Amino acid sequence: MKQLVQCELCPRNCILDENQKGECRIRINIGGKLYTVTYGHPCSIHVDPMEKKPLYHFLPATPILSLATVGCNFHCKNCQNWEISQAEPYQYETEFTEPVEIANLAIHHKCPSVAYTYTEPLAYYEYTYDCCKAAVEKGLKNVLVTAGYINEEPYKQLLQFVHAANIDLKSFSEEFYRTVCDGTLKPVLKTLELTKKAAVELEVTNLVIPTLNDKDEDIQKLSNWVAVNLGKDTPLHFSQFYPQYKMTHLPPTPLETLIKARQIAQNEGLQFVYIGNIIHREGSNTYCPSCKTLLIERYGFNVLTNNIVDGSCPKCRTKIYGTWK
Amino acid sequence: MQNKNLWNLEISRGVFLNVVCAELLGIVLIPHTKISIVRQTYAKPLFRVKITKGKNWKKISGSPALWAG
Repeated sequence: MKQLVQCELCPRNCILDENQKGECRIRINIGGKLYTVTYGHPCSIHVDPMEKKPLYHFLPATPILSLATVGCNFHCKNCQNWEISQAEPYQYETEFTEPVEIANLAIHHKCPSVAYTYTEPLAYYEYTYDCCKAAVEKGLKNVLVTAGYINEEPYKQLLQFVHAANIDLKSFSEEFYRTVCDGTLKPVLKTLELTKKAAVELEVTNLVIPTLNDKDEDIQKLSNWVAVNLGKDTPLHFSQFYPQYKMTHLPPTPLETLIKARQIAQNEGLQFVYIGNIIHREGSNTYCPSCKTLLIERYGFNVLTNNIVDGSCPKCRTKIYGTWK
Repeated sequence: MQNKNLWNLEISRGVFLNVVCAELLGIVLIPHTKISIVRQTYAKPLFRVKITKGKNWKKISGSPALWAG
């Protein structure tokens, strides 16, 4: 009898024949059982600044141990980490690293938190889950940097160990998700809502790609959805696109487009809107939404000044969304 | 020239008949192949013994989480 397996981790719900891998290249059907081939095999481990994730409202100016395994359940034509996200696991010779070793590594490098990032942490789910659990047991915090393409049940299981997340909202158009990412938009919106509901510190990133998702109405729709469904205090990052992978024919996003996007999002009521992947002083800083006092001044990934006192504005005492200690 | 054309025609006919036969055989056989689909959300870890073109995977025992067992 032929034993197929339907993987129900992500909305792709791949049906796998014997020895066939899913779209993520991570999950495989062997003898009618689902196995993950990258478990314990991170292909990248780095200590990054928190601001690189980007997370601007979570433990600012602290280092974060960041890791990834090969594979992703999206196939974005603009992927900046395509060499690892779109690779086959056998292409990278990696050492087996137990989850507890990841936690110990973070402690050794004086990192208060661990980020699951670079590729897609929800595709190497089991390793993310076990590392998160091990990190929490050692008193560390966990950060997801993800495209948010996962089914509801496994995501809820994982969220209990997650403290902060930066989720890509690549566009507010189903067509964009279908043609550029080979995915769909709706499950991503669901993931964003679940994250906010779970009281995880949430920041959203939108990579602005010239001609594909940079129209004023695209930005306005996306910002409005974030303001209405996630809250006006949800930080939103507009990142500069740089020609990569299968999209080398498009130019980098002009700074003016990003400044305009920031203005549109602010007009929709969003209180913390940032410009990333490019140096822009005002677009990198955090201002008090009430009295407009400069709270955090940044330059690139560096925090120059942090005036937040007990999570509040020092001048008007307005509570600022985030985890500051 | 004419012989060559005839020869090509014969080959084309042969290929066509082969495809038709294979399709017919498939139509007869496929409904008799038993297929079952198992739904699974969590995957067990595989442990790599040696990395050579993805062929040498080995099952890991005693994996620690909810997908173990």
